[in-house]
Amino acid sequence: MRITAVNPLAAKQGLRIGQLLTDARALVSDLAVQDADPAADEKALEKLSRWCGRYTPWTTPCTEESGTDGVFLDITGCAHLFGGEQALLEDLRNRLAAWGIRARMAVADTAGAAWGAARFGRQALTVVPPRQHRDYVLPLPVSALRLEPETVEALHRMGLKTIRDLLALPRAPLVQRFGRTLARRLDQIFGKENEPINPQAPHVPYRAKQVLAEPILHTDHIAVAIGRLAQDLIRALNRDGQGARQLKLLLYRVDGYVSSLVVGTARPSNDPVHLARLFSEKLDRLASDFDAGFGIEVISLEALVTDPLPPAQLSHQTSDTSAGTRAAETPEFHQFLDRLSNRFGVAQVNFLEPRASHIPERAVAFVPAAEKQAEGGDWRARSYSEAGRPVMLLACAEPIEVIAEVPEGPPHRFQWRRVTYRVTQTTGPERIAPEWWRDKENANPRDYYCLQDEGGRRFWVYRDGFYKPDTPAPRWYMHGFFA
Amino acid sequence: MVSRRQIRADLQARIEAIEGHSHTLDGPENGAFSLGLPQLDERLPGQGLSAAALHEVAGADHRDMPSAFGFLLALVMRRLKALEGNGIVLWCRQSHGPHDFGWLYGPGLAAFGFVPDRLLMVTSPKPADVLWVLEEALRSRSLAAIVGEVGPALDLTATRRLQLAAEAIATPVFLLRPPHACDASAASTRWSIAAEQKPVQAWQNPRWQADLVRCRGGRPHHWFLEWDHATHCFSMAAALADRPAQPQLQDGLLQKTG
Repeated sequence: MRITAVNPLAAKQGLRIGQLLTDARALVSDLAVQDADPAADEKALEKLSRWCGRYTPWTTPCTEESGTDGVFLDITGCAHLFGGEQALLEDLRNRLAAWGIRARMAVADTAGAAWGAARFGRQALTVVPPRQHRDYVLPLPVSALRLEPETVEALHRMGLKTIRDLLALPRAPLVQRFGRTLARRLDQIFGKENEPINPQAPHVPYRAKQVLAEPILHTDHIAVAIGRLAQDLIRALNRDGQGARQLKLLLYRVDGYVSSLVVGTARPSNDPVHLARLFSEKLDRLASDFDAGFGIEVISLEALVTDPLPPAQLSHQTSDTSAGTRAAETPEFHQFLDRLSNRFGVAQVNFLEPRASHIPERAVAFVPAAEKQAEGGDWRARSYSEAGRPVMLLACAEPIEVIAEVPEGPPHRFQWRRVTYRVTQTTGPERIAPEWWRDKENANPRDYYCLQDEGGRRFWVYRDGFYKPDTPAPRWYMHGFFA
Repeated sequence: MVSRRQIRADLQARIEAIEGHSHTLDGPENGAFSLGLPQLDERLPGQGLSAAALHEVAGADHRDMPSAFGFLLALVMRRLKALEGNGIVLWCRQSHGPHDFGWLYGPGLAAFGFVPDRLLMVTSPKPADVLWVLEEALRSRSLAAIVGEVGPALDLTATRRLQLAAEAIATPVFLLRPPHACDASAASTRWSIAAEQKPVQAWQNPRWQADLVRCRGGRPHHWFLEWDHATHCFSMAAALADRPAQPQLQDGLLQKTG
């Protein structure tokens, strides 16, 4: 049994990685030992790598061949968001330190140089200035090249200690003696060979993909392909008893451009026809804006969010339009809601819900139909039912010009939207005080009047505040209309 | 010898068959719903407002649009009453639409007798989308009544499509039209509504001058109606006595809330 990792305290006692456990026990008699769990380490590293996505989307844990103790971040174009490379590293170090993780890190022009600098640099935080990575890595030991331990040992035996030593030698014999890997690592560290970072793709449990024999251009053809993909996807979902809540469609163009469309449903759905139609309607709406370029060659459909499908009663009745079955719970109704919500946006399809407030505009809330759960609250229980409320309410009360017989009294005549109305009858006022727990301190109480003009039209107006000496006269506002 | 009356009945039946609208099919069991007032029902073909048809409601004047709203709402409530209160009503309008009197107000609807939970409100960005919503709503076969607020520009084809779809699916579609929209329309009925003076004593009950401007299979007529929000019934109203208008402040109504 050998030691795979030591903490700083153990390192101070002279323990090191690779040592036999018995030897270590001989050095430190009361040594605390834990079994190594490489699988858990890998998972933790992956988690850390995903977390590093806060700095850049291009993150990946080091692979097998580059040691399983690090994370690559491609911060090209991201560093300035955190105040530069140095600041980014410091931020990262501090955050890791808060979790008790000690880390060495480096920024360099190539992934290889950064790898080496992080492990063999003099400081724990290294920023290799742009285009100076060559000079920086030359004095580093050959281990900084991400090589197999055997190769490193062989190089050492030949007296090749640093990267500078390697560069001095002709390349062909080196490759012959130590294999292609050494040459490749050398190229990578100097940036002669490109080494892209493969980011971790988010986990998508359900995906259907179709590679098309010939690129397609027309939205009609795309719609047909979507229909087929939806069937494949639903088959996979049905196996697990899941229904799709959110779907993403990816269209890969021949020229490398990928366009994506997302649709959502209010309830988990496993109806491929319905889901395919949500997409084709979106495509139709894009119409002229949709650019297929030289054609779409790959189409993929992913279920981003799924929910367990409630068990459904298979009905032997066909959809019936008679009075009794017009309940809102039919699947047709929910599919209709989905199509509305996807076409106009969730916020444009609403139910009304009562809210506990005396302020008229706060007494009602627009609840997106997609989020509405059960039957709404009780509209009748509120005090306004006998006080009289208008059928229509302006979103924003509009100022009106008012002539009253007595200043405190109801209007005698008013002007709204450049039309003058003569008031014949009035009820009110109904005083509505501001909500002190929500409004500003200087909010005025409102006195609401219901006015009827000569034609019998009824208006709901209010006076904002009171007549007081030495203050400007309060404003009047039009707020609603009775039927 | 065939009597004159019989010839006329035959011809009428043939015309109706051509129009695709057979009154013999109408009736309480076949979709027409009663408006709850014999004087109204007897003037309408099928003894009530056809549930499988397109109806238009307009204000007599721009200022009367809230009254037209109210009357339309009353028709919808009669429809809901015929369905024993079941079903959802779709109300679709254009954002920045032509009738800018605000949105339907829940507490006000409750006071009017309408349960706001039954209302699905859709705002569409373009006028053409309103028609799309109405047609799709019909096709979903899951709504009790469908209401659309449409602007002045609406062609015969659009209304004809809606009328045919409404007939096929047996769901009434109501269009709220601006005043004086006198373009050709395939709607079964068109109403023009004006507000009327209400006595202070019955302040809650709206009164309207309801003008049936056109009616397929019926004749135009005029009523002076009052709506009772408690019973969901129309009644014939009597005009107020002619006397000078008296602005008055009701005592004891000053109430403080909040």
